[in-house]
Amino acid sequence: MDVDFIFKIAAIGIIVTVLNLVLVRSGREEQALLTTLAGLVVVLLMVVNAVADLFSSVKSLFGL
Amino acid sequence: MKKIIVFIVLMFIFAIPVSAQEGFLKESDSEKLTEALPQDAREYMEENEIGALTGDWAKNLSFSSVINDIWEILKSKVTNPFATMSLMIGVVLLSSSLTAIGNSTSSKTTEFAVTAVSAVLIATPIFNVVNSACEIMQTASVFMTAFVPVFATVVVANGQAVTGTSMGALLLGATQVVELVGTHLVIPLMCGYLSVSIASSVSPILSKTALSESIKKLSFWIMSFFTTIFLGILSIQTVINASADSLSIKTAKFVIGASVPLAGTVLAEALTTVTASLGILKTTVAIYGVIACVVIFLPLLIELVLWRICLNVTSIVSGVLSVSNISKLVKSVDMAISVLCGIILLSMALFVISLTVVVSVSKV
Amino acid sequence: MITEFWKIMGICIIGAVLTLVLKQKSSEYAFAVVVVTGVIILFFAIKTVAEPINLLFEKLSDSGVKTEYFKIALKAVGIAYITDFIADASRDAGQTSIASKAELAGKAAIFLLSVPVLMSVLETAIGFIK
Repeated sequence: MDVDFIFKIAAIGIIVTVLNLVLVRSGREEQALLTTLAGLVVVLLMVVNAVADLFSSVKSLFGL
Repeated sequence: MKKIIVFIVLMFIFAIPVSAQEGFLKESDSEKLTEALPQDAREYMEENEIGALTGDWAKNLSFSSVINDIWEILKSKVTNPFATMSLMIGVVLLSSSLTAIGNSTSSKTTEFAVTAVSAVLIATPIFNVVNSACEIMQTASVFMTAFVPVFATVVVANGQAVTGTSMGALLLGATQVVELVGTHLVIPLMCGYLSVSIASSVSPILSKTALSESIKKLSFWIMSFFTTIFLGILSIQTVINASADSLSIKTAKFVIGASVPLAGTVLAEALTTVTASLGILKTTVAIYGVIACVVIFLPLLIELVLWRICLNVTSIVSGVLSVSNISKLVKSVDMAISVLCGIILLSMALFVISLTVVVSVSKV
Repeated sequence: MITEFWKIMGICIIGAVLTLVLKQKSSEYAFAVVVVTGVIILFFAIKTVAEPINLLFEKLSDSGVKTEYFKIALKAVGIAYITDFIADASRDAGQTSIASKAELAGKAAIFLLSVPVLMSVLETAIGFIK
């Protein structure tokens, strides 16, 4: 769990946004939507993992 | 609070110069006295060969041995309060860590849960302490009741006038009344106070101030009323006050008046009399009574003082970390304990004074 | 712990700036950044708070003190941390109603935990009167 994690998510966000812009400009709107969705799924998976880590550490530390 | 212990030690020191006046006490009477003692006190007395018949044991009673005994009692009583204190401080830390992360609603709920936990943590051991205090007070009053007739026979055997014994009996009776009021009226009231403050710590609806404050005031009023009556009887007999050393007594008076609530002022007034009394009390039986009284009450008193120290530390910690719920709870428990201390000190002082009055009247 | 504190402060600033950058074009990613930043900070906070308390707890249970009620307090605080985190995250995503539901669920869990404690509070309070 480090600052890299935040950078990773932000980087994915920026890349997907740029891709989205390029795809929309070149007229491939369906593919643009698909990339956004795929990026979101990847980011969400990462976030869920991070939150799960937090939960398990809270569980062990507070004896839940 | 350490001053209270000093006060007890003072009682011991003053009690040491005993000139034996044996021969007036029958063996059967002495047995009766020993039987009236509670189990622990009797064992202690037998171990140290303290008996009502002879005054030989007084020569073996040294300052260091008394301090040693007090230290032993201290060591045996220290674990419970300190364990509770550390648990409470842990809970306070938890609670304060929570208020630090924000004032959201869930943190308020948790504060409530944490306060409930602290209430349980503190109430269970305090409940045991109060129970044992009640038991000890009752056995002590049994002892005192047994002591009166024996003491009266000794005084009569000294060949004194009937008026003297009747006056002394009046005072001993008054002591009994004060003690009875203490055990059967004030301690139950304080138990009510404790239960209300514990219940109100977990209930935000139940306002503590109105109900428990009035209970507190009522118990204070009852106790001071009866002690005032006692002092009224006592003030007729100002003879005893003559031999008191003024300066050291005045400081001790101030300390006791400030540190013991409820009985504080009355005790401070009576202190002159108590110290003077102990100087006058030189009959073996009377000294036996004083020592027995101290042996009965001292462990309890030390335990209560330890509790007060721990409670005060906890309330300081919770006050500093601004966990007001727990701090309020701890303060009210401390109040009840200090009232208990006051009642015990008062009954000790009254017992000593009334013994002296019997002796001094018989000597006039 | 103190060097870690400086790190955390830095992470806060980085998270805030990245959120600002992402917010205009794609707010979902901004939200993900916010959540992850929150997770990292909370990790630090929980470690600093819980480790010394756990140490105290172990010492006490080694010395034979009854620590069951203390455990309950610890659990309640853990639940409160998580509930606050989740509620704040949903509030950041603009869903106040979900946030308040999360808080309600947290309160219910804490209440469930404290029921046995409340029972014994009542019992001792009644015991004093008897």
